[in-house]
Amino acid sequence: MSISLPALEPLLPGLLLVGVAILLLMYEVFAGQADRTYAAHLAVVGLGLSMFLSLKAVGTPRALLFGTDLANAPLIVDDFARVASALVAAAGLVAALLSPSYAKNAGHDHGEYYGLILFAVVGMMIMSMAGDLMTFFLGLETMSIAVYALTGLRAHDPRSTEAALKYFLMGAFATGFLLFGIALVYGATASVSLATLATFKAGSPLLTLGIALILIGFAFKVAAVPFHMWAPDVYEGAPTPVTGFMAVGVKAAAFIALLRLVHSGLGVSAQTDSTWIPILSALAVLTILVGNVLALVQQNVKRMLAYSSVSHAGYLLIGVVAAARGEASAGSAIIFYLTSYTFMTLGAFGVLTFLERKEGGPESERYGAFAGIGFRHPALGMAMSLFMVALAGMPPTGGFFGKLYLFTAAIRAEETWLALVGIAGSLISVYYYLRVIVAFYMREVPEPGPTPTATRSAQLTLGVALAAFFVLQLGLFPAPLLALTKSAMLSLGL
Amino acid sequence: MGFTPEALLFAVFSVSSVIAALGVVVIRDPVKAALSLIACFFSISCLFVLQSAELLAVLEILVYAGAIMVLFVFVIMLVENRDEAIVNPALGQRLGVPLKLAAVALVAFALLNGVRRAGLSTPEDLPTDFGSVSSVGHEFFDNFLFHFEVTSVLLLVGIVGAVVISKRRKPQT
Amino acid sequence: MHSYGLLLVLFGIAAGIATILYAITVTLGPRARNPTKDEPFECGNIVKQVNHRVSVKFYIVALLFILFDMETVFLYPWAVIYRDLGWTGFWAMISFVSVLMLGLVYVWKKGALDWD
Repeated sequence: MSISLPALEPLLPGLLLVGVAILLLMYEVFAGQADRTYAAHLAVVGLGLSMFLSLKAVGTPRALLFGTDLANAPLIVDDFARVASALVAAAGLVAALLSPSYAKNAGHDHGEYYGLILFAVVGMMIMSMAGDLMTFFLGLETMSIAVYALTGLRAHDPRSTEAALKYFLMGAFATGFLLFGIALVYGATASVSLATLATFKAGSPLLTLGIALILIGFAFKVAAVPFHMWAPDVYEGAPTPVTGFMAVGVKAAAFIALLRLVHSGLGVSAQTDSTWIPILSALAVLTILVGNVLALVQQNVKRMLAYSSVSHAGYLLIGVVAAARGEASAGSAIIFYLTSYTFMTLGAFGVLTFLERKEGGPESERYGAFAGIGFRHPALGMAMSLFMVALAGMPPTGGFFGKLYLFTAAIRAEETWLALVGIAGSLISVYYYLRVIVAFYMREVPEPGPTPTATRSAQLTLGVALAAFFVLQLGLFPAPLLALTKSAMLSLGL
Repeated sequence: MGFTPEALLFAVFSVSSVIAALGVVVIRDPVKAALSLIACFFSISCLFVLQSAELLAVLEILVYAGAIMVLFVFVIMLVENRDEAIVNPALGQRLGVPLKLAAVALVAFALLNGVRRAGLSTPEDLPTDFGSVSSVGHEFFDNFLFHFEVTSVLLLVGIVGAVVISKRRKPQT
Repeated sequence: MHSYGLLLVLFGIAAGIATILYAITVTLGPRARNPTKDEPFECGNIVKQVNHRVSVKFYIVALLFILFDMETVFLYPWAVIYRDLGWTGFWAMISFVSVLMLGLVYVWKKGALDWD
């Protein structure tokens, strides 16, 4: 078997990113300049191009790479993979835009930083294209290792080191579960291909145990309760743009891979109904309730956003349950939700990046520290209000339609009670999201120390503006994205 | 299974691997624990040979007993070797022990049960060169070519990550 | 399996020789103990654990060693069968190694291998 270069064309978006990342690494060591804004620009151009290429190919037939049929191709480039690739590239793009000013402030302005973001995006793309469990695993590891390193970059803050260590140890643990699960599935079925797994009848204890371990690995990655313990510390300690990237990119990639697993691989809908749906439902309910309640009591905005991200994983799990029930609209609802979640969360972290003080410290992230920002920087106040309203799931934002589609899919799948839990969780979340807005427009109390002032950075402004634009766009005109997600799900055979 | 030399060796090496693994956990002196770990790796490598997974046996020695042990030894040297007072574990931790044991027992039971019911193939079913270096190599380059190539990117990310994290304390030049 | 039997015999012989040599020194070596000999050399020395910490640089070198050791893992089976694989296998390995080569260039130029 030989691979000719034209056959690799469907992989171009990913190969391009690998090339740009290696170029950045080489440029860094051979001709490094003190100011790495050029690296950010190069990364943004690469990610934008990659996103464009992915979207341009939507609608073309499915391509199988390195194999002849579904049962032996490690890579499946279909519309699902293309839409997902564009989504994770967009997440990387906004994160790269948020980074230059922050990196300079925090003293980690390396060219490698952008290289690692690109590599992480490549890993996520591979996850979305995985035709077998090994490909999925390799993609996951490429993504995870890059993100572990990004987490620990803030040189002078022990919180960053702690975060990297915690994330790495927890992640390695989760990887162990996942790999053991894959090994057991292979032991039970003598195949790692998702298409072959779909033909197996559930009931073999080995297969059941394997799938359970794989799901535990997933739950760790998306920080679903009770596997969420690492999230707040890691979100708090990582560089703020990285936190945003981690919250959206890792989550999006994991859910997209889970969706492919549910639909084309493990055949949850067909055979394992009785076993998996109660477990997934319990996971969803726990995640929503615990995530929201703990977000409620946080005093630090970054930690609040961490718990809120946990609760969003819970809403998405509702969608997975509906998808496992065989509800066709659940998949497109999940992709829609992930897209709007990507922009609103990155936007919120972008605003926080604006306000980050050089000396940092947990005090500068309390609600009170943001008092009066809304008056001094009206644009920032408006943007943050928009993102918070979107996260709470209120119109006219993409967050509203995301939740609407997700809960509708759950009701259609006859999981009304799950939808009700999700709505209850969203109601709780309104309180803590509005609290941020209230803090922004609170009268200023003179405090010792310098008051936070916004950084000026063209890239950062562009990043937040892009996020705000898409949050509104998705809220006012959801149809184009919905059509895209539907064609993505069609390519999975739904 | 009849009483064959293989069965005897299997028994010997499985017992020694379990004892060595227990040693890693129980022995307080980190250096001796590391030695015990090497013994464990060695026993497992012998088990691989008995399962006719020859390449795995070699890699077990090459990667685990070789490279990963080096890392372990450095970690032992890095952390200060002080005699720490043995703290009585908190109630929560003590309560956790039976829970953990129960979880392990559950997984072990499911595994044993699963393996028994799965009707796995016996050594007689395997092709003659199963697990040999060349057959695994063919598997790599014929069926898992993409995985192989992606691994290089994965390793590159690992290299960059390790360097970025560990070199950061140096002032930028 | 038979060839591994021979390997086992080799291990047995090696272990046997070590045991025998040790036994010989223990049984044949002269043991003349007296109180003076049992005392620590020079009075006043306190036997104490030495706590010297090793530089973290060892660690990064070891870590890089592992990562490049992984390359060997793939080179080994490839080297055994590369004649069968033909040019496909050749170019597959070239692209694999060149990515890692770039990694080495990066590490080298970054100064991660320097011992300043």
